[in-house]
Amino acid sequence: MNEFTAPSIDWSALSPVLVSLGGAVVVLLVSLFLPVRIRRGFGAVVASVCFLAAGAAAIALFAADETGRGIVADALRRDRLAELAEIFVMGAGLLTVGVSFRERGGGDRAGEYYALLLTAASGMAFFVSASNLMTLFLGLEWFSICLYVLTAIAVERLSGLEAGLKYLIVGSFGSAVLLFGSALVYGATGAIGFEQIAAGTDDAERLFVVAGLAMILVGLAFKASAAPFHMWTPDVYEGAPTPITGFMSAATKVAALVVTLRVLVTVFPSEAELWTVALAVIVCISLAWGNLAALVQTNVKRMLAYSSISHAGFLLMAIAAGNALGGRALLYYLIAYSAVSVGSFAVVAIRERELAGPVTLASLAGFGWERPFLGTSMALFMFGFIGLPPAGIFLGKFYVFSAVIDRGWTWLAIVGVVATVVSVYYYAGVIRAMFMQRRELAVVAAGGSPPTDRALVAAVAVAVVVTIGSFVAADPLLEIARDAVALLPFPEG
Amino acid sequence: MLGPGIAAYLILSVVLFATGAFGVLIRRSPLIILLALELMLNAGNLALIAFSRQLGNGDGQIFALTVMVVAAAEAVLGLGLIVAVSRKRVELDVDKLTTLSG
Amino acid sequence: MQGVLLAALDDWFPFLVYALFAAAIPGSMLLFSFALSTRRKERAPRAQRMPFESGVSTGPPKLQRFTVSFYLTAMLFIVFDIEIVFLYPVAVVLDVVGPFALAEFGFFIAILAIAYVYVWKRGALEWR
Repeated sequence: MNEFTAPSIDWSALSPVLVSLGGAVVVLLVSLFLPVRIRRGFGAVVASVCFLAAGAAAIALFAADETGRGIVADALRRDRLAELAEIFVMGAGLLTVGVSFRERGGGDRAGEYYALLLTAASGMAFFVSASNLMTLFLGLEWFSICLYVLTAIAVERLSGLEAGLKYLIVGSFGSAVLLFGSALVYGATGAIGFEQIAAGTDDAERLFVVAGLAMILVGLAFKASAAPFHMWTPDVYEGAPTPITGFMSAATKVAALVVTLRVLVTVFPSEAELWTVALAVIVCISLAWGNLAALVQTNVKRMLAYSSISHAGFLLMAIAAGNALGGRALLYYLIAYSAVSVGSFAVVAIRERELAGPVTLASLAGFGWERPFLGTSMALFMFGFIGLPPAGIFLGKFYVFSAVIDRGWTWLAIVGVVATVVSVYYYAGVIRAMFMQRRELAVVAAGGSPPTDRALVAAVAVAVVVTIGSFVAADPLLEIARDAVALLPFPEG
Repeated sequence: MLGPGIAAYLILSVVLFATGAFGVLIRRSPLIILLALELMLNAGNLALIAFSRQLGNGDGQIFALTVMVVAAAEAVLGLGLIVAVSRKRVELDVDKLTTLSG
Repeated sequence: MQGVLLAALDDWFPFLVYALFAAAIPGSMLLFSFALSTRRKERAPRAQRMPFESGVSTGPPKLQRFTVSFYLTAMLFIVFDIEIVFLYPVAVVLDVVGPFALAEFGFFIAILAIAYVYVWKRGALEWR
């Protein structure tokens, strides 16, 4: 047997994963020994500290390395793309802690709640730095399993359990498809490392490579909730606790799309012609389906779920462009999109707590006047989703469209513009419901008006700042996004 | 190498995968669906191990071991959720899980 | 003749030891559960121990349901049990990897121990 040398492990490069995972262990174990009453506070404090520390570690790593390097025997890759995605995920996690601080019930499960949130974020940080097919699958399942549990964590609500079970079944289906695709690619090229696969695809059995690529793409599309692999999204978004819905819509999308970009660009450069067209098809279906279904929703969470499907379309459009401009547009879009998502679900969460029931367009009546700050913020978020200034998504969409036009697919940009115009109707519907709808049915706050939730308001305020800030400070952010994708070998140059 | 060639293993794994996928799509009992999901994951495992044997490198085998653990975690979570749902209602039929109407 | 026999024994000796263990473990389990049983009386037929209720059977209900504790324990068993698969690759290359594998495994077992402490303190191992 050949001589074995232990892989050298660069602990500092792993720090965003390790900090959040370590925090999860601390929260999980210590809260068992604490009285129920202070578990939530303890979990929230530790989780915030860990998210801040992990985010700071990712920022430090981003600043430090320009070239990117493989770590842990090349199973993972440290580069600016991974680090930027980690910063987004940790930021979304931090905001989610604020949003969920006053969530009703489940005090004795607060430790598990925050531990799972931290573990999910840690799994996403692992996933975005995956550099072979095994770590890809492992990372995917790592954060997915945490999200399945988080969806169903309110075990006294049947809707939560149902959503968790549905998410588990559909999510595992997607993972299994991705796994089989990975097996085919491994069989064709004899390697599981991304770079080795890319090097080996030329003399590989093309049938296996193409089938594997298709199945991996489908598996990732399930996670990104792109149509036609989106069917779990509305149910899960509706059934999950609202802060978790916000986290899923922001962080899961970041992780899934960044990994889709990385896998397609680094593993399958030889099949670029194929996957750009496949993505364009998925984009069109997502935009059409997401927007049309959102038009008829009255439940706000379901409406936002369909809106997230249509945004998956816009985000994948950036990848379909297959050029560096698209990669930059994707990351820039994700900044604004994450902030708007978390913020809008936070506003839904507080309305839900007031009513102790689902938030519909009708039950939003008068919300804008009752809580001017949150109402105005929600209006800003809706403008943001549409893609109007002063929200960063405006420029995000602009860059996405220019990326596909750059590639020569003007028709795809036109599809995007049409979808945007359609989406004005349902986003404006929310604003209209909050500010212009007469209160025909008396909406009574359950158990009196809840106390002012400073943590949630702070989270919404941060989301507002990021939403507007991404528009105002577009140049430096685009510079950062450019650095992040600088090392990827885009097929279109 | 003794035994049937790679093609036989691959065909078997594709058949298993298809069986599992159809099972997930057409069966109604969540328990059977979980079984079908396990079948899909293990079809992937079989393909990985067969390729690993043919290529003579161990990556596929390690991958398969990891998948086994992940699959077990998933199965346990699924069973836990099914038990939790069935404690709330007796009849188990995914088509009747419609508190969230789609 | 004897040489052949000895050679065969040499080949099969590990298997013989293995077979002995395989027989001894379940055998001793059965034996001890009888030998150490403290409730011997209950081995009398069930009918003799039951009060006569005018012909109304007090037998078990037709559709017996398992308690949730059963499922819980079974599920925990699966999760902890399957982790053993990570021992296999280590066992194959232990002579080459040696101390590194031991350290890694200590780390892995420590993670499992965290899960165990959690499960224990949460009361999931108590039979209700």
